[in-house]
Parts: sequence; structure tokens; C-alpha cells
Amino acid sequence: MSEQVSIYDQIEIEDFTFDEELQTFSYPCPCGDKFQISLGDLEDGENIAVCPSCSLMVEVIFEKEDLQDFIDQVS
Amino acid sequence: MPYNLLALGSNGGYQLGVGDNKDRHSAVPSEFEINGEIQRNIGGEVVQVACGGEHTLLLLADGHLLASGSNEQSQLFSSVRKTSDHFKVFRTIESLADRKFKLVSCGWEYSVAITTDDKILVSGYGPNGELGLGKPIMSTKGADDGYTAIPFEEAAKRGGIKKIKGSIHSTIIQLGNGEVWGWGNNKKGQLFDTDGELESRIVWKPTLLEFRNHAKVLDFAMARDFSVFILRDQAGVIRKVFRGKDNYDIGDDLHDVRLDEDTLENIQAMWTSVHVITKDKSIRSFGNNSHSQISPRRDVHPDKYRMGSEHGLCIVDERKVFAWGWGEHGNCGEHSDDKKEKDDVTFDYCNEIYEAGEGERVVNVFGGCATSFIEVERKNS
Ligand SMILES: [Zn+2]
Repeated sequence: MSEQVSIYDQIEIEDFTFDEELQTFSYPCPCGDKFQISLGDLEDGENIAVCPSCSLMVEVIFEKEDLQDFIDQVS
Repeated sequence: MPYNLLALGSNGGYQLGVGDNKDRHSAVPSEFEINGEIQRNIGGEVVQVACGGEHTLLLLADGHLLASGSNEQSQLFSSVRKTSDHFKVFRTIESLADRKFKLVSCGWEYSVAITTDDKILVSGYGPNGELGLGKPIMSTKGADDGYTAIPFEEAAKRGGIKKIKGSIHSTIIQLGNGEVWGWGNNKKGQLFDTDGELESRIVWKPTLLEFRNHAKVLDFAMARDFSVFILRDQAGVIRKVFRGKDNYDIGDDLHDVRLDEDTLENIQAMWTSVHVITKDKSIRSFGNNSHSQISPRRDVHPDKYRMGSEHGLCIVDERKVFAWGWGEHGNCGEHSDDKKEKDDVTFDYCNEIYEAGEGERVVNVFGGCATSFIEVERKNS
């Protein structure tokens, strides 16, 4: 991500809800909608979850090995 | 006296109660369905507005509850099967019509309402113990009327429930004997230190929150994943206790603040900041300032402040309402021409969002998830 992006907050991956079907992590946004990021994006090294209803973004705090449980869940 | 409620901001789940689900960038009247008719008169004074992610509860002075917004998780104390998934305007909660309430609080997709005889009713969905009903209950969708009572006999024996403050995933109540009890998400230690115990990360039932030396809790505030308690210890010294995740060094900053019981009015929180208000109506803010949540320098002198998820509101002289902070959904109104670009989502000044007309008085203001509610009393004419 470019340095221009302003991040609203940092959220640990343990606080996200994982939807197995959509393979997506979500977390409440102060607008009433939810920040989202896909498992695939996290595996690719992305770490910015975005909200479909507003411009806010959060940085997901995680280690690569945190993802293994979720990868196992969906495979 | 007739009362009106005006609303602006985020409205994707009909939480403004204006009949549709479009955001509003200026104050518009909420609507009320009373005896089958849509009207703008509330039918009584609103004493509390509680806001979840996309739902809103109004507590009237006569103890009745009105609701609008999403009921997809039965969070409006109404079975989603028997009623509907969204209340588009405010309406009476039929399943609660015979009960009277004194306090109400909303979390992300759940609600908590306290009856005048100290029963705690909960409704909605909460995977982190938010419902306080014991492991592993996460939903009241299956309940007959979409809600359940938390068994909590202690309340009545200990002076009743006097105060409730919730965040999106946890709730804290204070009893008449001064004790504070909490339940819900405790993954960040926002209720009490887990001491590394996995079991304590979710608090499934109301649990007594303890403080060193049995200090008395004067007030407290719950942000998204931390809590702040203002205490008076036995020597009469005021202490500030921070619990939870501290991304913004709030604990340290608060520690250095001088507070005095006689001058403290209250402490309030947005999701990622806290605001200490003194009786002279000065405000000191601590925490996330990504969108000017920290109260800006003002040339206005408010009578009252209220916090939303990431914006603040205040009333001046019972006539004008101002907003600051993050206003992307219209919850802080629109920038006046000379101040900023129209699409700038940050309000780093107090923006006027309402001015009372002839014969009107602003009696209250409430903030939710990018929503703002203004209560206006009109003189009979
Ligand atoms: Zn959002």
C-alpha cells in the first residue's frame, strides 16, 4: 500500500469474524457496515481491510502462521 | 408538549426511522407509527437513544421502548419470523408493550434493556458472550418473541441497576451499592485482566468487576475495545483505571490528568477515544485523532455533549447543535462553503447541524454509528 493511505485503526486478526463460505474476514466499521478482507488477499501479503460503505480502512495485524488454521478450515 | 426527533447520518438499515434507507446529510424528522398512523410526534419525551450497528432503540420517559432499523437478528426484541427484518420507522415493540424500562443499551447486533423492576432483557446476536445468557448462547432468534431475560437476581438485592454503558461487544452495569458488573467480549481485557487465561476471554454471564482497595466507581465509559473507570479510593484520591487495548496511549495520558470529584460531570467514549467532561462544560479528549475525533478548539460553549461511534455532538443554549469528527455519512452535516471541500469526511471544527426555530427548544442529542439524533420540544401553538 502507498504511504498516502490513511489508516483509521489497527485490528488483530483474532478480532475478525471468519466466514468459511465466503472465505472472508470481517470486523465492525463505525459506519454500521463491516471492514472486509479475503483470506486469499491476506495470503498474498495484503493487510488492509476496507469497508464497502465508506472510505475507512483498517490494518490487519497478523503473522503468516495465523492463517494456517483458516486455510485448513476451508480446504 | 409535543416532541420531535430529527436524524441525520448513516441509514443503510433504516436506523434513522425516516421510512427509507438513504443516508441523510441534514436533519430530517424521524417518523413514528402509532396506532397504525405515521406521524412526527413522538408521543412522549425521549430520555435515551441507544444505537447498534444498524438499529436504534428509544426509551421514553413513560418507560416504553420504540425501535427502528435492522431486526435481522431479532435485535429489536421482536421475533424476526413473526414481525419483519427491518422497522422502517419507529414503532412500539409489541412483545414489550406491557413492560416498563429505565435503561437501554445497544451493541453491534444486540440490545440490552433494563425493566423498572431490574430485569435484564436481551435480544439479537452476539458470538462473544454479548447476550450474557451463559455459554454457548449466541442468539435469541429462536426465542418466542425474539428476546430472553438474563437470570441476575443479584441486581434487586444490591440496590437495583443504576447505569448501563455498552460498546459494540461488551456491556457494563452499575448497581445501587456501587458495584459494577460486566459481560461480553473480554479478548482485550476490557472488562478485567484475563491473566492469560483463555476461559476469561469471553465473559458469558454478568461478572463482578473488581478494583484494588474496593475503590468506588464514580463513572465509567466503554469504547470499542477498552474501558475507562474513574474511581475514588478510600483515602479520597481520584484514580483512573484503563482496561483493554491501548493503541493510543490513553492509559498514560489519563493518568496525568488531574480530576476532582466535585467538578467531574461524566466520562464518555467514541469507539477509539475517551472524553472527560467537567461541570464547567470543558472537555478533554484522549485517543485516536485520525478524523479529528479529539474535540477541536471551540468558540461555542455547550450545555451538553454526546459521543457517536467516531463523531461528537454538543448543544449550545438549547438552540443550536454542533458536530465534529468523522462525518462521512452526513452525521456531522455538510461543510459550510468557506470551511472545506464538500467531500472532506473530517470535521475538524464544530459544524452547526441544527438551529431551533421559533417556539422550539433542543432538549437532547444522541450519537450512534455515524448517526446523530436531535430531540426538539415544541411549544403548543
Ligand atoms: Zn464503513
